[in-house]
Amino acid sequence: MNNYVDEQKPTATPFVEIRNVHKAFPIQPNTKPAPAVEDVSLLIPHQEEGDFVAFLGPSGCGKSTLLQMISGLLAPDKGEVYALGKQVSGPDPQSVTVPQAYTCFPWLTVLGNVEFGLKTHGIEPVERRKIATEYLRKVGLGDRLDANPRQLSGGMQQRVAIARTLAMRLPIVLMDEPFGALDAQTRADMQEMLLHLWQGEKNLVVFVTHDISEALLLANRIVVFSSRPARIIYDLQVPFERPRPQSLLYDSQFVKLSQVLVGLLKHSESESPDSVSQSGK
Amino acid sequence: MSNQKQRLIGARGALSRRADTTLSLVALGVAFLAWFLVTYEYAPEKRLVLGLFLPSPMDIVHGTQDLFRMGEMPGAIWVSLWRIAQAMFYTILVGVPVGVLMGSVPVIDALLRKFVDGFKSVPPTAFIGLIILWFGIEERSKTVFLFLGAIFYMILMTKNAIRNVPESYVTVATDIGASPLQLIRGVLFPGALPQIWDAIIVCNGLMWTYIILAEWVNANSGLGHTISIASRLNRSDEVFAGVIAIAVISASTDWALRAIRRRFLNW
Repeated sequence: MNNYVDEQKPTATPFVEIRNVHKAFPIQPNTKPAPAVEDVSLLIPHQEEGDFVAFLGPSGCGKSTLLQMISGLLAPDKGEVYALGKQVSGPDPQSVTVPQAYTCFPWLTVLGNVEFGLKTHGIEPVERRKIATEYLRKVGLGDRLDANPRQLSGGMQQRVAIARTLAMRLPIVLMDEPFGALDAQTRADMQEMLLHLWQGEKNLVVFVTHDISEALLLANRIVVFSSRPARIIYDLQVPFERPRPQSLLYDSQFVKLSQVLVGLLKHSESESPDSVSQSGK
Repeated sequence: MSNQKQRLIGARGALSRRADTTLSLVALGVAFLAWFLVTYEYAPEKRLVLGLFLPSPMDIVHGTQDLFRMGEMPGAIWVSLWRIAQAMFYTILVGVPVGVLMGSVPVIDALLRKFVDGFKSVPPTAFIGLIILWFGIEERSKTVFLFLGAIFYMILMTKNAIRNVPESYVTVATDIGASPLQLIRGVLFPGALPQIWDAIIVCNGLMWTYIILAEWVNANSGLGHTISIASRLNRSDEVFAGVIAIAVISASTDWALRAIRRRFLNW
């Protein structure tokens, strides 16, 4: 607890600091709580130009649980989470999450959905409209402002969710497998869009995924988790320059790193045979 | 063969749309034919069932014509519609906010639940005497009666509608930083609105069944009054005419409300 005071130095306040966090809950209702996150500590230092960190691990390993503890939607059983030097306790106003899918409000238009986030932060109507329109244009939905979200495809709905999240311009953006429900081509388009979009932001993105290429393509740093309970088994700085085109997927170093990560995930899963089928997707 | 049989009469079997329509129309036709035959006047004053007990289709047409010609029917329809509109206004005015609060704020639910659940099980007819005592025999007691017949259903259905708003919407709004008030106004209420509208549709139907009771006692106008007078005068044809009028209006308001639901509240 006391160390926390030392890190209050304005320049050095890390984006996120996780200290010895534990979390357990029942896998099925009415069973004993099983550990989902076990003694995880992680430091994501502040970077002037922002940072992009991927949490990579097999499906159901507990990495999303960790993400929810950063957002404050879930409280750790043991340990502490700090966001920008402040201990997280309850939904954190400095962070916002892009969930997995289908979270646009169907009673609002596309524009209304993006404005909703800005409204909760007390931004005036005119300004709100301006920012929301700008971000919807950035995600390629400039001509669908008045559409109903249900008229849009799954990929477009996720674009709305991303616009809603980024438009709030918060220092920490959490993405919980946001492209997990999309088909391969849409997913590639979305990755490209996100890369392009993020260039201008100076925030931290924490991106949860079980897709190795997605992590390599998007992130500056990849934190690899074991299968449940999630423990950090590897921490990788991604060496590729930006901008990163999709063609990077065929780069020899990219392929080599993928193989390393496949090996890591496989190894982590040999202990828990029930999640092997999810590997290396 | 047994498979076919299973499909037609088995539990939860399915009929083709055409077979379904045909069968229901045939049933309707048979019933109408039977009605026509037992009430047909094959010689003067000679029919299987007297008009007093069961008027023939033509009797009812004539009864309806009489009621319209005397100017009774349009006025009665208008009065009943107006009473239900007023009762509906108050039912929504009280029921929706109370239901929304009970659905979203556990403390309010705990405080009010026993009362609402209890009163829901009491037929409003039990209160007719008291209502007249409290609100007089004039217009107001009729509105209050209809209101009491519907309000507890309105509250409970609104509360359930709020409870049924998907948790994912609540999570997103909470994460974005919505305050409890913003959550209720911006997410729970609009998310529940289609189901709240369903509750209004149910209460509309409920009120059209209660209207006869409301206007039976001490009314001097309205469809219920028309029916009660006709029944006292043994004008079974006019009784049926009044009942049909209520059924038609109830069904058309129901249809209109559903059309609004489909068009504007379709999430």
